[in-house]
Amino acid sequence: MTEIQRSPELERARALLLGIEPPEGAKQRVLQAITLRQVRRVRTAWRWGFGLAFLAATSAAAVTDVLPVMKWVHRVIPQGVSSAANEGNSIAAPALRITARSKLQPQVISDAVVAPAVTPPPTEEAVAKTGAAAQSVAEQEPAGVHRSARRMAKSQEPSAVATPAPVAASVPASVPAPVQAPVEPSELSVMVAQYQRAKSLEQQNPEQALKEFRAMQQRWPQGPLHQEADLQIVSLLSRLGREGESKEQANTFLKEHPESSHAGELQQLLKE
Amino acid sequence: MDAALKDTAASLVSEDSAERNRAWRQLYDAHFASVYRLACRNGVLAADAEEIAQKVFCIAHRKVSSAMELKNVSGWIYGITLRVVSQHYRWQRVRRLKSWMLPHGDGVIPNPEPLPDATVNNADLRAQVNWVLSVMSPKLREVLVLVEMEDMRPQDVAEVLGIPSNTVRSRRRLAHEEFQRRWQQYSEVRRDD
Repeated sequence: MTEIQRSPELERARALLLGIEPPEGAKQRVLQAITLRQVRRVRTAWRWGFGLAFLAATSAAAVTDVLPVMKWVHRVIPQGVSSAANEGNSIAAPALRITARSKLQPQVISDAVVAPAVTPPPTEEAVAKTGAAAQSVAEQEPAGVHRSARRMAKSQEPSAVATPAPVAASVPASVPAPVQAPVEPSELSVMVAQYQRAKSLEQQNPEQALKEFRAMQQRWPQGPLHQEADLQIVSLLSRLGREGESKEQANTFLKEHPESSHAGELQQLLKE
Repeated sequence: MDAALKDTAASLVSEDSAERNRAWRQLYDAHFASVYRLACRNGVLAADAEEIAQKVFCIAHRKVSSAMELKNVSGWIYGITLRVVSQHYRWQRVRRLKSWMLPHGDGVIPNPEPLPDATVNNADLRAQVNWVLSVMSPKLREVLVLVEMEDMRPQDVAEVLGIPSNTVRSRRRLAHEEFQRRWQQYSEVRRDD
């Protein structure tokens, strides 16, 4: 390697630069500046750390506040809809329950005369009788038949086909069982159907009609059609020529129901 | 001295914080003057040399954990100093552009205040040297300062700068030529004024 000779200008510059020394106190000043710089650096890092931690904590708090609400909404809304279909027997939101009931209300009110909002699962005997009564009414005397009896017979036919077990299984165990409705409507419809059937046999087969009315009297001795059945029995006995029995039945009726609107009619019959 | 530096290098990455702080203080005491001188020999003004030394030791403190092995602590500190000086000159160019765009600022060539005769020649020479070094190519200036001012061997310069030795030699020759050209350029400008 060939040695490169320094020029005089470079020698002068070198002599000048080699004589440079740090001034007095420069070492301490720089050391203090470095210390302050490190302190500021650590302080800035702490600020960023606290800021990020605060942000993370705020976000976590927001998420934990929102999550239960979202879970409640997802849990309640489907149950509310399904339970509204099951007449609102659940912990559904009140608004949903009210809406579902208000939709169901008109139909319930129209049937309220003979049936409540919830009809209990009928017994096998009642179903059989109701089905038979409805069938006979539909075949023999459609005109003049009580509308509620026909509606009851129709409404109970599908319920007899549909088994009540799944409905009971769909209701949660914690939910109380639906209130049992009174059995009078179905009995009433059966009674009305039997009355109509006996009435229809009055012209063609008075003996059978008499049996039907007597059966009514035995089954429902205090029923709402009790007086009507007594009158028909008196009338049928008279038509069959059994005057003694007819008068005896009329006297019995007048004793039991002296204030009845049919009393005058019976008294006229007794006079004849 | 070498054994002490090796101990310092080992202590800088020690797990014990007290030992680490002591090693840092030893490193600072041993290298502050050389860092300051190296900054000034690269043409940095005395007012800026302290700031450069501060940056150098802050960077060294931050980078020591990522340094795999500190075989040559002096060379490592010198390398950081040269990079900080280059960064300083880059920002100085930005400031120079700002002074050109704005009416009030530092000129390209420093124009010192009149001084007594004893110090006039020395101050003028200092200004000329600083200007020549500041306008030189950074790569050539680094080689020129390390070889001619610090009297380092080309092999050591190559290790500090991370370049081959032959590149150091070629850059040294080119640095001599550019220094001579810039020196004459400054003299001609001063003579015209």
